[in-house]
Amino acid sequence: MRAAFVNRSLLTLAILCGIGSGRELAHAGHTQSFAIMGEISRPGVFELNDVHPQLLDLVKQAGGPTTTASGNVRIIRGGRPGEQTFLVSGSNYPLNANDLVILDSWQSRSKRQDNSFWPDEMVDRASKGGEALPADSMVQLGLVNLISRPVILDVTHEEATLGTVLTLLHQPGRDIRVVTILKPAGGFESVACDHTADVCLASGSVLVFDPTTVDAAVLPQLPATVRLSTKVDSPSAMPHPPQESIPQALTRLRAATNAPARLPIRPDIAIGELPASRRTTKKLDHPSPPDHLAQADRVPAQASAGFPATGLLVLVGAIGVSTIVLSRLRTRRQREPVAPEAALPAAEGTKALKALISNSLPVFEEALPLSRESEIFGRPRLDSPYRVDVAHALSGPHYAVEPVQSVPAPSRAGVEVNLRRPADDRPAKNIRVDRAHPRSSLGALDRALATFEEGRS
Amino acid sequence: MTIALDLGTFAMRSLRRRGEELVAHRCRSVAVSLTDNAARRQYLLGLDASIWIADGFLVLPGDAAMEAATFFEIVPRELLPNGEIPTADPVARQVISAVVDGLLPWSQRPQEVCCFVQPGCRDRPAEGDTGLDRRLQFVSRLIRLRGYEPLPLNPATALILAELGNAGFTGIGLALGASGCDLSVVHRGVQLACGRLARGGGWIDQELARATKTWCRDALGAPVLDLEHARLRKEAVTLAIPANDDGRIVADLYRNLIANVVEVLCETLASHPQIPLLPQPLPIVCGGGPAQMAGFREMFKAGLGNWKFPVTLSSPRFVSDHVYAVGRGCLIRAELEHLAAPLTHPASRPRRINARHLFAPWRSRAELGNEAT
Repeated sequence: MRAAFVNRSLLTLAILCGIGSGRELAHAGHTQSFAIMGEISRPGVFELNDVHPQLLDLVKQAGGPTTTASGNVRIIRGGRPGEQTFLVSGSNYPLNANDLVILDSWQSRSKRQDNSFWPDEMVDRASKGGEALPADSMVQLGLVNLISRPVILDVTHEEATLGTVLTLLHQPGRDIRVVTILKPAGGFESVACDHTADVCLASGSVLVFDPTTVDAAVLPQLPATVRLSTKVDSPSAMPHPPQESIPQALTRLRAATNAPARLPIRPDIAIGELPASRRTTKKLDHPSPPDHLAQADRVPAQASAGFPATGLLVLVGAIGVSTIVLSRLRTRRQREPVAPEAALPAAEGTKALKALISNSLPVFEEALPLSRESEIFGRPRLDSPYRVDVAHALSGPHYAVEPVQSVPAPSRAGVEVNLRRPADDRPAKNIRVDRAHPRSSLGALDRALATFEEGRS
Repeated sequence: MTIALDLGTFAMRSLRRRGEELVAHRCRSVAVSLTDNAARRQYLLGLDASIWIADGFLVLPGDAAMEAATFFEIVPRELLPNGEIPTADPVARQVISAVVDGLLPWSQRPQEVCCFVQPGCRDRPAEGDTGLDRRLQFVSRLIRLRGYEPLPLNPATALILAELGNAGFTGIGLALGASGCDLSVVHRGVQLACGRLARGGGWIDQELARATKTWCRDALGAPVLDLEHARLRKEAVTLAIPANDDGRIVADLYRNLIANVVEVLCETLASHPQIPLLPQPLPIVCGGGPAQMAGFREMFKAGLGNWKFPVTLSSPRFVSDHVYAVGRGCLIRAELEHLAAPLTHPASRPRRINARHLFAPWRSRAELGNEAT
């Protein structure tokens, strides 16, 4: 009886927390989802009441760009790339529902361009992939058309292959067939899902699915969204985490106990595998789930076996203590003055300025990088604004001009006669063409090239 | 990364700092249009020239345009005639956009400053001066598209920043250009008054070409002034000792130009009531392409001596590196702006929060259904 009561309580809690197949609960009021990822402080999916919020508002709500953001912004709309803009204060760029906004880093920009005048140290850093990534760094991926809104995920480097991601999403490759990968450095690639094992995914990649081939019934729990107010400065601008999943409950618990006056962290869930020693055997028809699934399995199992309420309270308390410790560590890290990488320290900036003023820096001139061949619109103007007035330039005509004789208007028959017998026509004026200044558009080189072409043909 | 952009009637330049050196790019402000055919394309691509195709014509910008003009006997066309951005020439505007894109690399961070100079622009457009605002809008937009914050600057003020650092950035700057001469009176880096004379080295070339009947024919066959040839003839002259007719004509023209410049200087110094309060003698620095003529310094000093000014002027200084002096002044201004502005974007925080060990794992409906039952 007691066990049944506990089971029913857990089931009620699970339903309230919205654990399900990834289907979103209907929120009160009509909200739109907007995803943001890349060089942003809090990547994730945000829900806004505004139908077309501004890009800058979304970036502010998400905490602003990081120090390695280049300012270039790509927008994936309707599963298609191509929208691109730049973060400039005062810019007007409205977003549409389910847009996926990607803030590029300067590394991805340097890989995308082939400009030759990047500073050497920047080129070296870009070619080496920037700083050496820590061993436990995550790969951020965006998923479009998997469900009704975009999804932002974090996976480990070992799991950053298309096959593994499809496995974690419980989507068999034979059903999905083709996935389009939008690469962070530009370009896209359509991959057939029977060859997904070798396709590595870089951080910032976006996977575009065919919604008709996605089996939403078997999707696992996806990261939830964050509900925001559109006005950044209003007192109610604090995001209200949704009620439907356990992560948001933990977030609220942590926020209540620590009381730092800042926005809660993003609720994205990272997919990862615990070490092999903690894995348990599972049924063969399902892919082996991550080990934290196995760990969580033990909790309901113990609960169904009659886990006492005090044990549940101890578990919740332990989780709360760990979150307090983590948040304090994070706060301490944030309070430490972290100098941005590329920002010029004051002393170095002053030294550079003094060198500039004293004109002690050598100047190296490099070739101007222009595009080799491109097309521009319009017809170029061929006239010059420095035309010489011919009347003032010439002292007089250099040819003899005979007085013009009045010629009667030719009748129709006369004109026809003239046309039929052109040899009998005599010009009314004796005009000489000055052969010394031929009005030819071909220069000496053109004539030489034409002769060369004629010889070849 | 701050960067300087100098858009001149004769050439466009950019300058930026890379470690302990300055990296510069330069490009002539001209373009030529050739009728398109396969032989020309092949020839130009073999020269590794940038060619742009516009309605059956091949457009070549910059230094390649001057070489092509010589080969194909075509008159190059100025991209900034009289120092103005052309309003009725879409091809020229697109060429200017492409050249500016080449001069400015992508900015590395938002709100990086690009201090730029355009012929005739003041430090800040005067209120109600819509004409000047419109002239700056085109270039400002191009700079913003590359990710920079544009900061306009007077070329003469840039000269003062580059050369009068030991004088506390106080003095008079005189920038002689191809389309005109800019004048600026600055006190501690703040511009008090400015003036402009719409005559420069280009006017001297035109007058010399008219006087010596140096003509050529344009693409339509009409006779036009051969300004490039006239410029080469002008640079072969010594102003102090004119040896031939060319020398005498050029010397007269320069004397005329200096007289006009000094007249504008007088008017500018008299225009602001606080200028007589500046510490005197007021240093004066002069730079630009026309100021590099042999004998110009003596002629300019003689021209200054013929006038009585409301303030005492010191002996004029002349810029040694006239090619990048204005760019260096713009770069100094941009660096000052960069050091003065605080970093607005948030300090680096942990980019991602790896909470995979805390948050609930992924579950499938089948597994949860098994647990519930």
